[in-house]
Amino acid sequence: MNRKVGILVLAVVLVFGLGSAVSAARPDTIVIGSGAEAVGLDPRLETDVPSFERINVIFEALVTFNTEMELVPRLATEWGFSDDGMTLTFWLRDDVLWHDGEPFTAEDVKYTFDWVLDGDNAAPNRALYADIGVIEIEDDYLVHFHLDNPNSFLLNNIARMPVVPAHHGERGDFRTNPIGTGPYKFVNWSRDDIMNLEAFNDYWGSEPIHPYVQFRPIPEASTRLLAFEAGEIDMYQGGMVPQELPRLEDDPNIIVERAPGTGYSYLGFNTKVGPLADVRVRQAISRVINREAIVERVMNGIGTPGVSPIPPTLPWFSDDVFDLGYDIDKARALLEEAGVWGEDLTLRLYTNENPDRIRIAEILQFEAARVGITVNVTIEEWGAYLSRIQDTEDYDIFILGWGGQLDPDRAMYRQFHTDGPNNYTFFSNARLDELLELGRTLDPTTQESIEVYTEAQQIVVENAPYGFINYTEEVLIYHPHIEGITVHPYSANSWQDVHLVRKN
Amino acid sequence: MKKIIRNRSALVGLILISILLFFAIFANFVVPNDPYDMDIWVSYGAPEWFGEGSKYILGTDDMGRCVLSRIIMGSRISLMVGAVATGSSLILGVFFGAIGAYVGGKTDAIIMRLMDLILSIPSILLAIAIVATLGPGMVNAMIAIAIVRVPQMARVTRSMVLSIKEEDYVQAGKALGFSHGRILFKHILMNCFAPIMVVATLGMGTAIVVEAGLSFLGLGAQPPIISWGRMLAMGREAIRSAPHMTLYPGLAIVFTVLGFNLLGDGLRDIFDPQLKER
Amino acid sequence: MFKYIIRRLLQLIPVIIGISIVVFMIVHLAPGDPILMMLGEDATPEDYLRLQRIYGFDRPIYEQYLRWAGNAIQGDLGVSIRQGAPVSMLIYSRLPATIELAFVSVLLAVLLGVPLGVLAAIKRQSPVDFFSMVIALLGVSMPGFWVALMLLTYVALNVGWIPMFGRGGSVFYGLWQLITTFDGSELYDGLRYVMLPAISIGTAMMAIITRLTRSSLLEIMGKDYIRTARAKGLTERVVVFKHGLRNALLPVVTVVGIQFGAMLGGAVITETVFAWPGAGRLIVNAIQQRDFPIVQGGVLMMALIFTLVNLTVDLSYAVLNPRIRYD
Repeated sequence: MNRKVGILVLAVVLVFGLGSAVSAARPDTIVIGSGAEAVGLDPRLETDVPSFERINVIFEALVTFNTEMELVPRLATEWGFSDDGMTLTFWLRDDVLWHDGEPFTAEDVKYTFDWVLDGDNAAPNRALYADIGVIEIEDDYLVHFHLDNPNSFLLNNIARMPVVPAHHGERGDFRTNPIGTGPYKFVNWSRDDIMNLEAFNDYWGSEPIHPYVQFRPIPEASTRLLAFEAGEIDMYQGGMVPQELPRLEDDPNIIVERAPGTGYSYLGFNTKVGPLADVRVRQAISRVINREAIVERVMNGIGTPGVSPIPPTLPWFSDDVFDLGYDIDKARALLEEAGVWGEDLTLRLYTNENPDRIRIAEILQFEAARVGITVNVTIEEWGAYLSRIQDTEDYDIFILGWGGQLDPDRAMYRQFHTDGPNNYTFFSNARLDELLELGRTLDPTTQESIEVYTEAQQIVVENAPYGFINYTEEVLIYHPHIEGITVHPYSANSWQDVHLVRKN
Repeated sequence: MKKIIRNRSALVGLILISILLFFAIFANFVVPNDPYDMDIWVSYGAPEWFGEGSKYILGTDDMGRCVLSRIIMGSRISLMVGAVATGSSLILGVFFGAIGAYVGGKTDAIIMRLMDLILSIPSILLAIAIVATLGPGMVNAMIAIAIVRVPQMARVTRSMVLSIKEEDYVQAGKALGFSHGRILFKHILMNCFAPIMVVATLGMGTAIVVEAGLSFLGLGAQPPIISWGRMLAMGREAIRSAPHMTLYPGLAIVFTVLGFNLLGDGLRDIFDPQLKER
Repeated sequence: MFKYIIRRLLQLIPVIIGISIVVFMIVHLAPGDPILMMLGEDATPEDYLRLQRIYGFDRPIYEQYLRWAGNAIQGDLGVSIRQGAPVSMLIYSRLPATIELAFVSVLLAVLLGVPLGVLAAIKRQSPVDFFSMVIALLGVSMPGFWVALMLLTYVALNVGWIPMFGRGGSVFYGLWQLITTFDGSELYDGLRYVMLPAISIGTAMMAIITRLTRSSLLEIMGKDYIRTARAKGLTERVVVFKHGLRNALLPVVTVVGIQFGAMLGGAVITETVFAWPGAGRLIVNAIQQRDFPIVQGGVLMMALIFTLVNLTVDLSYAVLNPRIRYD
């Protein structure tokens, strides 16, 4: 018995001794790291960025955003609004095949959007497309969207809904075994471990350079970075550890690319409750947010201090707004003016277990104490937190963020319109409502559109339902042997052109 | 006491815990800096062990607060979590275990099935579920840790009571017509005291480690309360550029838990009558 | 023996029913709502009601429980809300990784813990005893995720051949391959990947096993039959290993069983740090997303396996100690 064990141990030792180093990922495979696992792969059902990172490699939308955040053709070659703005027409590519070899046609486009709009289906993002009325197929490659209401930003939403095949869409396992038109087709998926994709040889665009793509979810940020440095993954975007950034940028064997993102984080004030109903109190709290220090030290230079609800990369952004920069003395003066100075003001702040938000909460707690405000922080688990903010009014201040703010309507209507579905601050301003409704009907390329949203931003910033903390920044890191990838400001679209990536 | 000093484990454990208690009690006087005072502009500062003006001996954390001061202040929370959670699980566990063993029959069966139930759910999952239900925070974390640890206490107590129950002096008490309460508390539980204390000391360590785990998941103590677990959790991303943020709180946990475990082990050696002579 | 197994299995029934009720209550009482988690930022109240109806959350809670329990008895644990796949399949797909990690950790803990415990017991009250106990106790004194991060940062990154995350190959299959075809590549891969997660879990378990081995062996060595053996003039080695250890290992086996069972769903934090695709992560992610069917089914399955493992352990007593009879 003992001898057998001995032999086994010897064998194990031998095997260990003969082992080679961890093979850097196979040369014919591009390995992409990710901060979280996808929920599913059906564009109609998913709402999270990690899912769309993968979906946008397997599927394609009619139009998409390039790395300059311009709308560019994908499955559609051309598009245009009718003169009255009530019909949106798409001319489709006629050389596109689904991964099963069937041709892509207008039928698939109609099927996808009709399915999303059908109230009997569980499409969570239905509201984005609610202005679409009837979809009319003129021929296989020409389709008209007749709108119920004018919506000049509808194209941005259509860019977020990749087309699914009508002949597979009703299949029960479509969500975990999808068929798309993208450069890579789905092979298999072991959840929380690995997702394997294979090049689609009949892809209409330029042929995928590498035969395989893998997605590896690694939830722990420090592990993800270590795995990257050890060469086990080729690249990843987002979820960068801020403290490591300077070191990585100095390392000649690592390439770091950065681009301003499409989101921001903010303090939300419940404008219904006691002292926070007073705009001066909200302004005062906004003034104790040390934005520069947060961006510079806590985020280690990732992102920029927050100004308004519109990211600086959009043409509508305006910094010609009321100044609510860090100033303890002015905050004190505002509180005195509001008549709450010296009173025992205690506010409840909620946030979830995101480390950056916890840090911001702690900083705010500390700074607010300097102007005599006691902030009680509660860090809730994400599910409980979300239902508190969305379902109840039981909070004073909360820390949250918005992502994917690709146009001013999306960045403001939901959040600040009196009837906005995400108006968690219960903010209401008649002039603002008017402007936001007007903005939807204007041609986004006109000066008038810019003026409308400039005024809207001024109203929001001065009335301070939000205290803007910082704008996000996207960080992509990859090894020097990777060519042909550029950081994408909208991380859901990061890998849509991974078929052009070359790994030497 | 003499025995404790003679027993190496118990002695070292006692010394470690005494040091800890000293820091916890006099935390306000021994901290070199205000543990809550932030200066974001000196965040992630490396330790400055020596030198003239070294203000932060163990460096600063992600918000420029003194790591050493926070570790000292945090000892209070760790000790409190350990003591309260272990104490509550002890009270509940001893109660259920003793009642079950003494009464026996259906009561015993029901209690033990209940304990099986808690035991068979992976404890960290149960703790997460409890905290998700009650909401996060130190008190709820302590409740979760306590609930999770009740079955073990109950089992130990039950087996002790079962064996003592049959001893002559207990039977004598019964024959003399003492009340059940008197027999249970005075005759039985008093004789279980030593082994239960051993389990409790060991449980202190576990409770502190579990609290760190809950804090890692963001479900433990809430700011501004300083807990070692949360210090580790917040520092873990910077483990390479600012390792002092995780190393020193980690060591603090190790020494504390080690202290309680050594003491518990030592006490076991001292109390266990079967080990007395060989 | 057969009767004993039947009785133990019958005892299981109330426990399982109890667990199902407790878990069901916990997930439904917890704040947070699966529909909200699923809906995007743009959802309207109508969308909410629509999805609530589709998933049956508008029914009274007892009705939801009875319907779920009724299906569960027939082996149908329902369909995940977020992933759309059958819960039983999701859990089943996680079991190999979960069992493998648990197995290797336990093995590691036993291989290190038992000899350390024996050493400490033999050299009782000497510095050897003290230091082996300190080494063992260090394991239980370190939070698992801290050990994990330290191992990654200071060991894996420097050594080079230890992977940072994920799972390589199946250790069990690799072992089979090694025995049948003398091809150790799969085993080597599997071990490389499982090594660090197993160490960071196994260290805590090692402490428990060391301590238990020590005290159990000390207790046995005080027993009469050991004295008799000594008196017969057997060498100390024979006494300790043949007569002492064999009996001293009984409580150790129980604890190993409990630990093994507890690890099946309880290695959540280690699984997260190492991105190990185990069942614990599945369940915790489901708790976070309020994916009720996975939480309910997952915890139930883990509890069932845990109980069965412990039953097996109890039965294995008979093998270690033929004097024990079940009736």
